[in-house]
Amino acid sequence: MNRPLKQAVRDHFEQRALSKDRLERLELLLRVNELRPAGRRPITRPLITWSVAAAIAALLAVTLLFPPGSMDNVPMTERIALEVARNHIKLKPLDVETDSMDGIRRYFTDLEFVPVESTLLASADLELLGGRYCSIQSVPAAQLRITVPYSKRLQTLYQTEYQKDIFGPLPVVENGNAPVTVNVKGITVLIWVEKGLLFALTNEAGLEPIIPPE
Amino acid sequence: MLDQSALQRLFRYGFSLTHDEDAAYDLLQDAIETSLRKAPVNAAAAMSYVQSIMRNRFIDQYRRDHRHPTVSFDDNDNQPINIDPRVLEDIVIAEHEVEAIMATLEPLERELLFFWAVEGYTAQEIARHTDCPRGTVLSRIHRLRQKILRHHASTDAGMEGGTAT
Repeated sequence: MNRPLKQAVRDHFEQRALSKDRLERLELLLRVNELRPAGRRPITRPLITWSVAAAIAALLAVTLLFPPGSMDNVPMTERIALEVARNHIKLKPLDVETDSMDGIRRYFTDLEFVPVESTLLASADLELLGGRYCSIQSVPAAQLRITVPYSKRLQTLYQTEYQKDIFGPLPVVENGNAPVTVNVKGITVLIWVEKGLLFALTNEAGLEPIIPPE
Repeated sequence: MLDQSALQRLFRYGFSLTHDEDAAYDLLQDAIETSLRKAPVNAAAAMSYVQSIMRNRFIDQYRRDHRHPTVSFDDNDNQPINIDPRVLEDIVIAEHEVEAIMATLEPLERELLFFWAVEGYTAQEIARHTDCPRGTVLSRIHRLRQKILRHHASTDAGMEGGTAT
């Protein structure tokens, strides 16, 4: 059967649609972003509070009602590690190139937290290359790219606001806990909480660990 | 804020560039993460803003992945050319052909088809959305028509209908 090209092309695209799960996640990401007190938006503080609460509730609902197909019974640490590893493997272009945390802090002004140095990495010989906006479990995050001189490999360090309601209990450095280690997709991902932020650091499995195990 | 309809439109736009549903989703998610609160409050402006981020991101990625690209994203082929922008309107294809045609097109060609067929843009509007001269868009339409007709001619069954005009 022959059809005008225009109709055929239109049908071709309209057959494609976001799944319900993906649609919900994008809507949530938008909602969380929109709730941030932007300069031109007359949002009052009580509204922000209620809205943030609503967004967190929505995220929990999405997580509970529309878990990704194979993620139903996957622990949160593994979900975080999978998302981190997946993004790390893609090595998407940086939004900002800088070799200093000051440069990072100057750029990431739209986050609800301030990127900081981790004490766990203080003695590691790392070189910062820059960063890009991203999200972990729909929570906006900073994705920092670093090189490890001895292995000459690019690694990724994520930082986001630690929201216990979303991420669940995680090891807190200030409490003397060591990072949790998850191996996924050939990547070792270390996850910990420090200074109120969630950190996730990649390292290809088999390479010398950036943070020596205790 | 972008509603579900706008998100679906943006997803389809991403699909026009990537020709892959997972990659289209990643591109859209990336653009939303990048836009954060910088996106305009007005829904139409926000959509245009996110769309431009998607396009720039895709082109950056494409350039990175293709050291010797087969399609130029700096196409300034805007020499005066007398092309009727409706030249695509009269093409008729077999139903099964569209997938094969799409698979042979370059990202900018699929984007052009998307803007024309799905969004209903004129050549002038496409030029505005892609930030290039109208002459360049008309040249691309002309080359796209030639490419589709060549594909059409190479498929025996497709030509039996004698539909390319």
